[in-house]
Amino acid sequence: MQAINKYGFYGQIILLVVLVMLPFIITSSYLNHIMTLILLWSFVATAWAYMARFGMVSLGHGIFLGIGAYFPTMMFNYWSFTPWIGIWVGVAIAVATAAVLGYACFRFGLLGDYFALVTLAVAEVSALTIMAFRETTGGSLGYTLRATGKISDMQFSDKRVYYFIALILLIGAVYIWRRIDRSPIRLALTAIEESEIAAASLGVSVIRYKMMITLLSAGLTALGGALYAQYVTYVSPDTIAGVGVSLSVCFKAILGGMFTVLGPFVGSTIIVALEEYVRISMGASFLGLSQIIFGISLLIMIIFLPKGIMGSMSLAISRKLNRID
Amino acid sequence: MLNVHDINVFYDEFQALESVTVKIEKGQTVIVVGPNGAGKSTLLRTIAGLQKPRRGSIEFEGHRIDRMEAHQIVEGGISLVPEGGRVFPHLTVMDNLKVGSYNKGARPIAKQRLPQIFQLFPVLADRRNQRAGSLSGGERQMLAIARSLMAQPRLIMLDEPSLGLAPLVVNMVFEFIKSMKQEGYTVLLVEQNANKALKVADYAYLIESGKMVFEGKSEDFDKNPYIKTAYLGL
Repeated sequence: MQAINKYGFYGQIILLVVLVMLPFIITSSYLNHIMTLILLWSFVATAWAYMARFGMVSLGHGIFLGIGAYFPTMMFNYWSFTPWIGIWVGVAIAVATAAVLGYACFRFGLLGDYFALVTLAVAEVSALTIMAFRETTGGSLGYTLRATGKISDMQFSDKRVYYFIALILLIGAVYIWRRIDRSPIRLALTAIEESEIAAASLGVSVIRYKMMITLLSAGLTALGGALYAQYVTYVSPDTIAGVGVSLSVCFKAILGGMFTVLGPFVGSTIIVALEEYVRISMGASFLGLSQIIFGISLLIMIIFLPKGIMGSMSLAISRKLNRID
Repeated sequence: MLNVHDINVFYDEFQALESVTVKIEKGQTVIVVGPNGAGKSTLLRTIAGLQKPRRGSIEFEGHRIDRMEAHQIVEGGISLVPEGGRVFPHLTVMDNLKVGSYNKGARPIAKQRLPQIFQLFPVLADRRNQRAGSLSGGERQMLAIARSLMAQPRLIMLDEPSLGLAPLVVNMVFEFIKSMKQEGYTVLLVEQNANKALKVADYAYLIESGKMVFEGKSEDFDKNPYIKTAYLGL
C-alpha cells in the first residue's frame, strides 16, 4: 500500500496544480463553463458517496439538491435576501429534512434495497412538490434567478470565480473524506454495514453514526445544489430535483468508483464531458440519440468495471506491485 | 446481578417469550437450554436491548435496563456474542477488535486491553492483519468472543457458541467458557448442546415455546427423567 500512497500523493498534487491553472490556460468561456459544472457535480457526487460507500445507497439526493437550489434562489427573488446567507438557510433546511427522513429510515431498520426505494420515492416527492407550488416556484418550467451582477448578491462578472468556489468545495469534500477514513467513524460505519446486530451488540450506536454521515452528506449536497443554482441562475425540477438528477449523481459516483476518494470526480468528468460531446455532435440531427449513446456507454462501463474506474485502476496497480490487499 | 422479571416479548403479533424470569448472581455461569425456536436467542436479544419487552422488567446491578438502547446497555457492562459470531468479514481481526471497544467506557483502555486479549487468544494475535472473513469457523467464534471482551463486560452472553463448529473446536469453546468463569466473568450461555453446557454451568433453565418450564442446578437437570430423555439423550 505504501507505494500506491506515494504515487497517489504526487498524482494528487499534480492534479491539483493542473486544476488551478486550467482556467488561465483555457480561455474559452464555454469550456470553462463545462469545467465548472464538472467540479460542482464532482462535489455533489463525492458528498453522495459519503453514504453510499457504507452501504447507504440513496436514490433521493435530488431532494437535498432541490432544497439547496430553490430556497436561496426564491428568498433572493422575493425578499432580496442575499444568497451569501441564503445558501446556508437552504443547507440548514436540507439537513433538517435529512434528519427527519434519516431517523425514520434508520429507526425502522430500512436497509439496502428498501432504503434505496424509499429514497427514490422521496426524490419524486421533491419534484412533485415543486410542481404543486407552481405559482411560487415556477413549476416544471423552472425558475430564473434575478440577475444583478453584484458581488453582494453572489454574482460575479468573471464566471471563473465559480470554478474556484467549486474547486475549493471539492477539495474540502475530499479532505473530509480523508478525515472520516482516519476517524473511528469509518470502522463503525463499516461494521454497521456488515452486521447491524453485531455492531449494536458491541455498543456501536447504529442510528447515531448513520445519522451523522447522512446529515453531512445531505448538507454538502444541498450546498452543491445552492451553488449550482447561483451559478447557472436557473433551476427546474428536471435539472436540480427529482429522480433524474438523483440517479445521475449516483451514476457519476458509481462509474468513477464510489469507494475511492477521487472516483466521483473521475466519474463526473467523464459523464459531463460525454453528455456535452454527444449532445453537441449529434443532438441536432437525431433527437434523443445522444441519450441512447450515453446510456449504452454507461451500461458497458458499469458492466466491465464494476468497482468503477478508479476502483479498478487501484486494484490493477496493487496487483502490478504484487501487493494484493 | 441480572434480574429478568416476568417479561413478555413479541415479534409483531407472535409471542416469543411469555412471563420469563431469569436470575443470575455475580460470578455464575448460567445456561439456558431448549429446542430450536423456543425463544433462547430472543431472551438474549431482549437483555441486550435489541428487542423490547412488552411487559416485565430487566434489572442489571440494580438499574432498570429494559428501556435502554443497545449501545447504552453495552456501556453498562453487558456484552452479547450473537449467534454465528457475526464477525465483520471485510475488516481485519484488529479492526474487529477495535469496534468491540467503541463504547465510552472501553475506548480509553482499549490499548491496554489488546495484549490481554491476544494472550487469551494467541491465534488472533498471529492473524491480526488478516481479514476476519479468511478465518476458520472456530477462529471466527473466538474472534467474536474476544471482540465482546474488548467492551469490558461484567456479564457476557453467548448465543449458541458451538453452532456449526467441529467437535474438537466445540470442546475448545467450552474450555474457554470455563476459563472465563475462573477469570471472574459472569456468563449467560444459550445452547442446544445441553450435555456439554450443563457441565460448565452453575445453574440452568429449560425453555420451551417461550416459557420457562424447568430450572435448577446442573445436578437437578441430570436427575429429571423428562430432560434426560428429551435433551440429554441418556
